[in-house]
Amino acid sequence: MSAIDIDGPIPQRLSFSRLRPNHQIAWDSTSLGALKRCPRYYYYNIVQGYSSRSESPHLRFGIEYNDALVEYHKARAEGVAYEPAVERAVLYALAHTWDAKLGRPWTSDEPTKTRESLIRAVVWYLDQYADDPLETIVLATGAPAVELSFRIELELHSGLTGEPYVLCGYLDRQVSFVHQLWFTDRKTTKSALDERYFSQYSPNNQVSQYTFAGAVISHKPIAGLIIEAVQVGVTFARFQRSNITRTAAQLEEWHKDAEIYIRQNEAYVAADYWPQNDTSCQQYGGCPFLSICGTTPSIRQQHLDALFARRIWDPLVVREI
Amino acid sequence: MSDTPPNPLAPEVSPLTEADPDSINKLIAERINAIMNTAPLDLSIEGDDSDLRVLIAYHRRERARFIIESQNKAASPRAPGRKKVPTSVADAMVANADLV
Repeated sequence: MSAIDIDGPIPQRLSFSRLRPNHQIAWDSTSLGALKRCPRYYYYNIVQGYSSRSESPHLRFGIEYNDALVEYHKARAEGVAYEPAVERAVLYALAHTWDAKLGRPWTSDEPTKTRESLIRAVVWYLDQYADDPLETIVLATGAPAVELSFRIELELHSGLTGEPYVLCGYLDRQVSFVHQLWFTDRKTTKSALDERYFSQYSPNNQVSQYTFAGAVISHKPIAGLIIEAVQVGVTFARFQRSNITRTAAQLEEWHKDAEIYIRQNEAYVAADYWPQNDTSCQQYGGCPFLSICGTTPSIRQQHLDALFARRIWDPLVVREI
Repeated sequence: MSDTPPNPLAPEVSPLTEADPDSINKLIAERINAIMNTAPLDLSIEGDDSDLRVLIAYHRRERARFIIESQNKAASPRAPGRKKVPTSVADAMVANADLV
């Protein structure tokens, strides 16, 4: 997945139709989740690419944390011993949070998501799981099964263009745990890692999509998805893992629902109109486009351009780590 | 306040052997702060006292401290099954002599 800043017309995106530019063909969990949340939110955020002008410290922290741990797993798969691999991960995080142009460290306005708390979380995680019961699968190429990109062609074609729909995304890590195959997904949060926190993952669009995709790309049943959560505080980090499973019937239900949503999107594309779901405006901590939808339609575009930046989300563009 | 002038023949006292824990913590904080404000390419990464290893050791010490504090917090009269971490063990776990 990749976000690209733009200033002007939207360029052709790999995940969108070549025939109808606003018609998404390849769906990752972010874009499908956005459509499920609210068609108008999906239109503003995914189709038009409007997002906050300022960088989200939560998003940045999550990416840097994930990438540092990927660096650790790569090092281990190369045969590097534990301690040098930890050093490599920490050095990676330090380097990627240093602004070379300004000659200063990355600064964040969120007290729990800082460069210091990032280094702390990486060191504490690798300390806690030094003897990790989750064994990273090593692929036939010798590379560790981390940051696995998947593209799964659905048996569903666009009724507008005939193009085959695709599910796509990244799986953090494929592991063996108690002789079973699992995938893991890292989450960073300020919340306590209790039963209530983990209950949000059943049902959950992303977990279901990853479990569905994991089974397809593994060519065999998988046990499920392990959520590797870290609670990040100003002075501490706590870790908790939780195994989330789906039955075959649950995955089939998710698949069926996904196809209905994707098919429904065709109607929006055809009408060039994505309706508001005005019952979700206050959900998810409040929609970022609340102030836009709260104004009269004739002035919304002006407000969008004034208040938001354009950052195109294209899930088929490969991330480089 | 003593009016006695300092004895020039007296052995120089290392600030780390005589300093109180607060002074040591201040020195550690200064070193960590300097490391975090140094361009990664300029950090020393080889040797036990390198910037990188000191930074990692510092966070490990902070983790040990956090675990002890969490365990001690949980060892309340309402949780008789939980025991406090003995002070000597706690001191050893958060030993900081190698950080400065």
